[in-house]
Amino acid sequence: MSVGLALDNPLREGLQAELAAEPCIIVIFGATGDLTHRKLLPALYNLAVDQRLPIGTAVVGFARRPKSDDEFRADMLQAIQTFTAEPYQSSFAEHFGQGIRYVQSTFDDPAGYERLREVCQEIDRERGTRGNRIFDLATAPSDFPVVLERLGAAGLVDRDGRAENGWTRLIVEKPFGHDLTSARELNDRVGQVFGEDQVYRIDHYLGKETVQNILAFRFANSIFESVWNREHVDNVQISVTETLGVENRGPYYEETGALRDMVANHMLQVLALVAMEPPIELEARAIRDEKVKVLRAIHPLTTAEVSRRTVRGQYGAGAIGGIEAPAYRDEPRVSPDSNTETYVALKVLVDNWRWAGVPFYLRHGKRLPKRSTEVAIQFKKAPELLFRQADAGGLDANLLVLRLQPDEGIALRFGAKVPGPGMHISSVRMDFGFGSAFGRQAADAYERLLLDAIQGDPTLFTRRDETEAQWAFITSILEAWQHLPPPDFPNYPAGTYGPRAANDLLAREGRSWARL
Amino acid sequence: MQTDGRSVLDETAAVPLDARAVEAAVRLADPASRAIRLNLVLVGQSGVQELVERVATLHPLRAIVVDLDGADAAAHVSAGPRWECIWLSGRPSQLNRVVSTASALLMPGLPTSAYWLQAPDLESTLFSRIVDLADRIVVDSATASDPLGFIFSLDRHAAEKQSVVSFADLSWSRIYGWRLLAARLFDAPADRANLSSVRTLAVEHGGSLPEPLLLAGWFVSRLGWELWQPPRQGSLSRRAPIQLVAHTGARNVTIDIRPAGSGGLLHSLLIDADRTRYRVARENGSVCTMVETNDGQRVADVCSPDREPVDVLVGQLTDQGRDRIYTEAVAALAPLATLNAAR
Repeated sequence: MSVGLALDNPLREGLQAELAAEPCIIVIFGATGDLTHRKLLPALYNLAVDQRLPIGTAVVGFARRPKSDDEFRADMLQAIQTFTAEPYQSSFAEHFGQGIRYVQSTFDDPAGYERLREVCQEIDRERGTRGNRIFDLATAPSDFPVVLERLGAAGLVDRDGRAENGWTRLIVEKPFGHDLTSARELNDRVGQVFGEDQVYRIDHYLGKETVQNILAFRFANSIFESVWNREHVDNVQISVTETLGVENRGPYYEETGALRDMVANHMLQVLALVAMEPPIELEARAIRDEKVKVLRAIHPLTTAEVSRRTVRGQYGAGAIGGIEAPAYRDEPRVSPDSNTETYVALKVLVDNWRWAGVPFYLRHGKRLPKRSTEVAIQFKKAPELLFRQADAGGLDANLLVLRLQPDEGIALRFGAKVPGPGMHISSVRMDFGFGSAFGRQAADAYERLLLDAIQGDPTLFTRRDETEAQWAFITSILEAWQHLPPPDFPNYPAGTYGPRAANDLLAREGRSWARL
Repeated sequence: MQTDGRSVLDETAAVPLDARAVEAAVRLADPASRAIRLNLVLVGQSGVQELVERVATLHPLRAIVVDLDGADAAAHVSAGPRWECIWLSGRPSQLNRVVSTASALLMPGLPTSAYWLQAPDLESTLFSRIVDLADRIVVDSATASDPLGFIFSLDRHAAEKQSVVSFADLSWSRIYGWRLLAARLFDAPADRANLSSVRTLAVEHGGSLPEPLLLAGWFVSRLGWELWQPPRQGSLSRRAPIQLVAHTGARNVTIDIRPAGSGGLLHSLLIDADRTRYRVARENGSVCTMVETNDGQRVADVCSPDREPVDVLVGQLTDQGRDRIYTEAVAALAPLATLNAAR
């Protein structure tokens, strides 16, 4: 979804259609953390290998742990070697590593930010980064306010983006707040230092090729748009199922839960892409405007509505793939009487002309039988009058499934006549797999997102009004749950598809979950 | 027959050169259905197996090898994950049978690319017949005996056939990374201003002329220079230095193309402007840039890993359309057309 910007460089003409990006310095706050090792540096390395990273781009880690430049550089090269999908070439990596520096400081120390300024100016002179900066908040959300305040106080942010000073951007990793109030507060704090057009809020789902393919599928194929509405669609199901438990993230998950962890951001973004109107152009503002319209059409729920339309669950002991799994309450660093939900299912209504009356069912859970992320569009059944006398056995509704991970692809279920006497109709499945068709391993989402941030394309990042609209809906559920009777947890064994109530959510409307 | 070709031909029984019989053999070799995306017609023998398997990692394909160095008309079939290989062999006099069988075996509704493992005779019947089958023709001018003549002839064919088939020269594809790195050096306004003060362009190569010539042609065409026919340059040799002169409108630019070692690949590109020197060079398996000002200060030094040759080919198989930038680079070299280019 990047749109090429013409650079006034005659040699650029005819080269790969890309935003011609200027080199920059990426300052990573919390650079000794897991995200930097597993995602950020490998992604930057992969971009460099693909010749997509602007020449001269540098990385400065800013963190509390005492390290020298050489020690941090060695750490990062080791992380790249461990986590990169590209073949690791030591000579090339050495060259890449020459652009890595480190500033050791606490986040509240003004002297640290002065040192950061000095280092950045050195890099500008050595590598031609021309004052361009990306500040990446890859640290705990509790650190965001102090980092923002110090960046502003140190004058490291040119809010007006004057060309002679270079450009400045901010990347904020999720979670962006934990409810509507905190999200607004964080947005306000960010807004005191950065202009909205400088802010890039990451939802890494949007960086996935398969999520981006939702728009390509909808709008590159004329046959689908005419049936993509309440006249033809019976319901839409968005499922994100995981086999894993909370692993060693117990303390984080206790404060978060399934609704905040997955529904508040990723799943609502996917819903927005499925439900949005065609944008007037494939450009950031136009696309995000349409997504916000969808999110605003999802009204906050009353307590009674939450009671009827949401289901919470928490896994008990069970087995997955033949391997025993403990109950959530028995996981490390989880309270033995925790009421944190590890499963959520809900019915969402998008109150607009296209989708009025069409339920969007969302479900997400941990310790389910298989890992899967998919969107299933169930169409209204064809009239059966033609097949009643022929003992057709009932017609299944057509089902279009967009599989986002794993085994990315698209499947369509339709009815076909069974060979032989009589008119027996059986459902068959037409399947297209991206992996078998394109062969190429999709780039990690962070490669796409970091490159877009460097190129100044915010399409795949969430805007302030998007995040607040999402939180408005989610917060209404969170608040209602506070007033509803506590759930009787655990209520589904690990290795099953969640609590019975999740099936009842659809069954009482004559529907059922699509088989994963 | 080359070794890998022999492995295909030896391990599979010959099938009559009949499209129905070949299809039946393909189904036997690989009865499971796959998402084949590409028909690839290969003309030649050397390196076929490795090439097919490598292409298949990105494009599941049906490869049809046209081999007119065979003893008699026959077909051999093999299959693997994501690929089918149909080897059609015959004598040169059996060209019609072989090509018509290939035509019948192309999977309908899929793009068809054709690749010559050695530069073809562009005026031959075989070339013409294959062009009629394909949507995309990929060749390599570096394997031609007269590479510059080949380039001009190829461009003429491309212009004639542009409405129905597109052409690609791998020599041009191989310098894509060099062009990208060179272009990036001039993104900044201050560097871009230096383009008007370029005095010399020096390209060192490993004994193959198309790449340095196309790189020079690219520079000349992008910057609106005019290449003059060098009066003292009697021929273009890959073993001797070539000196060209381009006129920018304000000054003359010397373009030196020099052999430096072997291997056939580009070694370096050096651009001297009044105040700054820009360099793109191959170092230890990477292609690196360097910018040095007159006071010796280095401003940038970044590398990208070089692409493997087969990956260059794979990247060309499904592109469509005529590359205007390539056409203009070739047109910029027109003053050299009267020179003999010895391979």
